[in-house]
Amino acid sequence: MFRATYERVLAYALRRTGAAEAEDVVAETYATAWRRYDVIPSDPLPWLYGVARRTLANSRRSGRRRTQLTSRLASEYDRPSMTESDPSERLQDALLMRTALNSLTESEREVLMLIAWEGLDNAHASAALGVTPQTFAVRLHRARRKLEDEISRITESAASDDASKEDR
Amino acid sequence: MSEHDPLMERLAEANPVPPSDVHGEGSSATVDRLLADLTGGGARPSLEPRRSRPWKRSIVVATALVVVIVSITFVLQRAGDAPASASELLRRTAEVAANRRAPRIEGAYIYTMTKGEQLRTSNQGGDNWSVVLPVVEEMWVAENGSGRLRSVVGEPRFLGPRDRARWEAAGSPEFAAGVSDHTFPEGTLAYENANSLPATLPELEGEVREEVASRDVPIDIAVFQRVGELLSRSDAPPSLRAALYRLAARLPGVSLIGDTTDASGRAGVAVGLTYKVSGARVRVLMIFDEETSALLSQERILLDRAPWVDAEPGTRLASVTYLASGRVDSVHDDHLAL
Repeated sequence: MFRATYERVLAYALRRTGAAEAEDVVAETYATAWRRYDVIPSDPLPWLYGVARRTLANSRRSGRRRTQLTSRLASEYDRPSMTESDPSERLQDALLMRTALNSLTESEREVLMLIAWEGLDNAHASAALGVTPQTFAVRLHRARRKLEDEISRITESAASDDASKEDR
Repeated sequence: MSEHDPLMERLAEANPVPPSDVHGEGSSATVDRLLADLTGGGARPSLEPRRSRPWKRSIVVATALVVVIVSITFVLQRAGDAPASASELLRRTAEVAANRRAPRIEGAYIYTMTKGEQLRTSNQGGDNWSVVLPVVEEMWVAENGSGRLRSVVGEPRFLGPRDRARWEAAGSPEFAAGVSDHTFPEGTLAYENANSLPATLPELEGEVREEVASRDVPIDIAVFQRVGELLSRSDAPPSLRAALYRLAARLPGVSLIGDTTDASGRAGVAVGLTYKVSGARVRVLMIFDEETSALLSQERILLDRAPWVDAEPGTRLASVTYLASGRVDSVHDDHLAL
């Protein structure tokens, strides 16, 4: 179980925090798994994601780590401009998607990332969050809608900036 | 991820650690070091999840039988008296539930109507702040996963001045208030068939415990909350609803709160379980009508001052009031009485 899941749990943590913190999160996650291995379900990955998510949340609450996705994305992609010419359309779209994602709440981001980045289906993602599949489906629907709204807002804002520059 | 979903495919492209970088198994050196840390360098036991063991199940079955026998004797002795404990009240209500008429099983959709107050916490602006959002939600779900969700989000309510000030300092971000009404295509919503759950106590308890193992609260609290969610389903058969009340009665620490009214002003009786959230006690309540066994509401009440929320002890942090539930023929049928 440990060897089969290690890299996926590490990748989960790396998508949400810095490299040094991610290693700590993984170590704490498996320490918890070690203590509670009698309750680990037969498909352990969603359960491990749930433990990793709580470990990250606890460390943020205690103020020991501030490197959450918000600050990470902000430093890496500091306000991408949709008007700059970019050699790669895909990269530009990735920046747009991450900026839009960054504007959602942590809970909304997590729902979307479990599906799009961790590749879980609704049943496994709901298990990772510890909610019913029904609740998860509703949250996913709302998060998707908000992400679409944010993409539209950013795109319209960039277009408006573009028009202002041309007027000047 | 479902196929042919352009939005999610675009989001997947933005993955900072794409799946191609994940090889599925950890490098031996890293994994060996972590395993050595966990085991203290000693023998390495298997980290495979445990399977259920026959002797364990026998103990559970024997314990359950003793509890059922004792509870039946107790109920017979005390029939007609006021309940002395939460366990006694819950076991009595189980008897009421067992004798209720079976619910209607015709109808393509399971319909539920709830009125809730949800505590949302944000760190926008730098400091954590919380707000309560009132939501009335109606949902229709068919067996093929299609359905409709209609929700009305009301005006946000701050529990105290500190959180309002922090929200204003964050630029007064807007909340998604108003009405939303969406229909969902096949395969989108999760259809939970209450009839598929076991109605015998040991099996039901085992299934519920496994289902809630990953929830972000102590396991008995999670079981208590799940029992409430399932009791809210009026399409559940009487035998299952009775088993759910008996399961709640078995939970250690469940206490009798007494007569009360739910967030919608309906009279009922409450039982609760208490746990700690970052040092502050929070009580989870289940409010129900002992005459009919209908679940009215689930609530979370703050019992101590807490650094993570600007609220006085006794404040209701969240609630779900079950207004209607049952089977209907179309996504336009509603207003069922409980």
